[in-house]
Amino acid sequence: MKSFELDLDTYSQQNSKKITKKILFYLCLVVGIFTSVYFIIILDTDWHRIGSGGEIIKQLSYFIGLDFSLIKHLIIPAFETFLMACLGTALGLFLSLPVAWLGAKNVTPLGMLSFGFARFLMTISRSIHEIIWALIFVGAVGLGALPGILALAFRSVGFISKIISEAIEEADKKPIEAIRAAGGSGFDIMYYGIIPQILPTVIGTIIFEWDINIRRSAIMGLVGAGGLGLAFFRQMHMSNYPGVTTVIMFIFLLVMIGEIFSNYYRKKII
Amino acid sequence: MEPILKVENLNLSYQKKGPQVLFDISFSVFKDDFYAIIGPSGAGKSSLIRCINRLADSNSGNIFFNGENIPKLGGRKLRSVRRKIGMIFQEFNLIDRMSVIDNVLTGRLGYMNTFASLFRMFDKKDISSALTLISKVGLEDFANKRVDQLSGGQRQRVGIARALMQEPELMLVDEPTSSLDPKIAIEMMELIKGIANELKIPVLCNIHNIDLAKKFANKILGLQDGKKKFDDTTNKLTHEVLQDLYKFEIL
Amino acid sequence: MKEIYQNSTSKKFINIFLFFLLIYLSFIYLGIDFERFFSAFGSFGSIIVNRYYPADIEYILDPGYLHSILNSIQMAYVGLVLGVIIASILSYFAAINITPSKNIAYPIGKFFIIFSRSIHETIWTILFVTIIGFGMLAGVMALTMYCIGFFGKLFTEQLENVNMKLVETIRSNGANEFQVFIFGVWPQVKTSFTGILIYTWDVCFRASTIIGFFGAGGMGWYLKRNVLQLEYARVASIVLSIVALVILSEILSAFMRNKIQKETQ
Repeated sequence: MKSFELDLDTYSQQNSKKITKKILFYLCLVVGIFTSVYFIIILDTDWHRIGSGGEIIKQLSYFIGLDFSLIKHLIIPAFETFLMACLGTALGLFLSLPVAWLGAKNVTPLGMLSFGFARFLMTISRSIHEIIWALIFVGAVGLGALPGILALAFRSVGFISKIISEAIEEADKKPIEAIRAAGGSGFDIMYYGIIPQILPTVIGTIIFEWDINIRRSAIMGLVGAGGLGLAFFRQMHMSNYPGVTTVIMFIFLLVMIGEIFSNYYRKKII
Repeated sequence: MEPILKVENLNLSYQKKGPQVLFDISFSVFKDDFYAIIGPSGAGKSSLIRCINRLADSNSGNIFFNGENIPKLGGRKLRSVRRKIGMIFQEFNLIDRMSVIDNVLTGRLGYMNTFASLFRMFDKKDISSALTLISKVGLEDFANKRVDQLSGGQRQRVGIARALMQEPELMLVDEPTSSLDPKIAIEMMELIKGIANELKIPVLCNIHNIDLAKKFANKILGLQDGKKKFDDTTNKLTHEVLQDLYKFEIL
Repeated sequence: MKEIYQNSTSKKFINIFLFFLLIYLSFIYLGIDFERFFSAFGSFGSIIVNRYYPADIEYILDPGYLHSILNSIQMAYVGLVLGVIIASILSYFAAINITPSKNIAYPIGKFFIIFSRSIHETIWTILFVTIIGFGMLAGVMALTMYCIGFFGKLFTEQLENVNMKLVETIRSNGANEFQVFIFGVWPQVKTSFTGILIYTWDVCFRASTIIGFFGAGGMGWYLKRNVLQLEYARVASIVLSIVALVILSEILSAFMRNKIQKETQ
């Protein structure tokens, strides 16, 4: 059994070893950071093309200021962005339910096969960036709000179904046993045994992902989905930089509102 | 003889418009005192202790310690005063994943600069004092052990050793025995009193167990609803006084 | 009694009906054709097979492309490091329990973190590309902002959940603010710091692979070029390589996370 006694010399020895290790670690970290920043930013960048500091400041100054005439035209796009986020999240939830069911070890029908398949789907959903999803769906259905919504939905499935499947796995067995003992069917077990237990987690997760989707739906304007994203691209195209700043402020406000709402309701549920 | 600590007309409310917690408290602690603060829960005992080293900011009143008036100090001066006041906590407040000796050494932080403390460069004198204090509280067999693997009583002793590392001139003790079982509680009080006597440090101790207070303290401060109702030597604490003090508390 | 039961079930049905009605109306409002919606899933399959298969694997083995993979990784790394450093300081300000000043530092910290987080990384990319021009520098700056928002939010939550009693204790020893942080706060958040760091790397790397699409360096730039040129086979291979790398990065992260968990036990 290791003795926990100490004397002055042992501790000093231990301590100075620890200290040297720590100093070396921090030194390497700092050196590593500086070298990579140096190599990547300073050397690899074509400073000529970027232009002088004065040009950068000038370009930056174009963004200062708001285009007030734009504001009333942004209310409807803001609503569209908001709506897309909602629909994308709702569709994502709908798609997540079967995946979560397959991905929960205690209820999956075909054992490791279906479980593995579900986990695979979840990984695919999370690893493909929403922009790539958007490009895929534009190829399939053309431009408009639809590919945007589909992209948001498919992107969200990974996270939502993961959380739901974990909640199903952690559900308390006792109510399930009680229902089974009373003669309930598989559906009854799902509906009365599992769902009531996981509902708070599910709702919390949906609200969380919905908040993130507001942020994502802004860029779905790339695929012509409308909303604030489209407004952003339009203003950029017209080089109306104060207009761009205005759109960004709108996006910021929309996300803020979503965040406040999200925090408030998630706290209420927990 | 001058008191080590002199509290004058102390008033405290936690928020600007919040309820007042302490009303016009005055008392003095002398060098050989073991001063116990008693009273029903909510009487303000903990708040009073925390005002002394300004973990809570009082609204008005003076706290004189070593010639300084604590409420009026800022930054560096406040830190140097805090160094001289050791504190022992009800819930021990240790750094869970560190060993006993590392925890005890944090008592020395007030005397070290930031760089040295970042790299834990304690000097040999400090390390050897720490080891001495660790044996004084009876934990020499555990010096290198992680504190979250110790029992409640042992952890409280680490807290005591840590407070003593500061070489304090006053000890503030906040409910040292509430988280311990009764037999250990008595041992703990004996340990604290023993060390205080040996090192000649006055103690201001907040305690809810009246028997322990009567046994170990030489002076008692009785609080009720934030007001001072009794301030005298222990032998003057009669049954009537206690009844009056605790009359609103349904035990 | 029966009436009460019927009332609550009918309420439920009405709610569900309204919910679907709302969805239907929203779809109409956004001008979405339901035929397209359902045919999408059908044509999806045929489009994939016709256009995107077989993928042009040779293209992605081209040294230029491999170099761009390296660029993406580098951008992600630098963006992560800078972002985490800045975010750590801002989180310290934005945590209401340990912020040095509730009136100045707290609002500044909170605002910057939320602002960085609300703007999508691609929008940041476009903005920086406009100001600084194309290339990796714009990408690095965009990723830095992204990481500040992502790491900052999660880390602030951890800081706000810290046990203040320990902080008080160290303070009562007479320590200064730095020491209070090192010995009071840091031991409590050390593990979550590394956990959040790894999580941030995952999302940062994922973002870095495609922000090239909007003008930053890396693989995304190749993607854009080939999309514009309608080179579907190459697009397919690029997308596959991106997804493969992201999955690889996630496996490594999971491995790192397990290793760290074992070490701290």
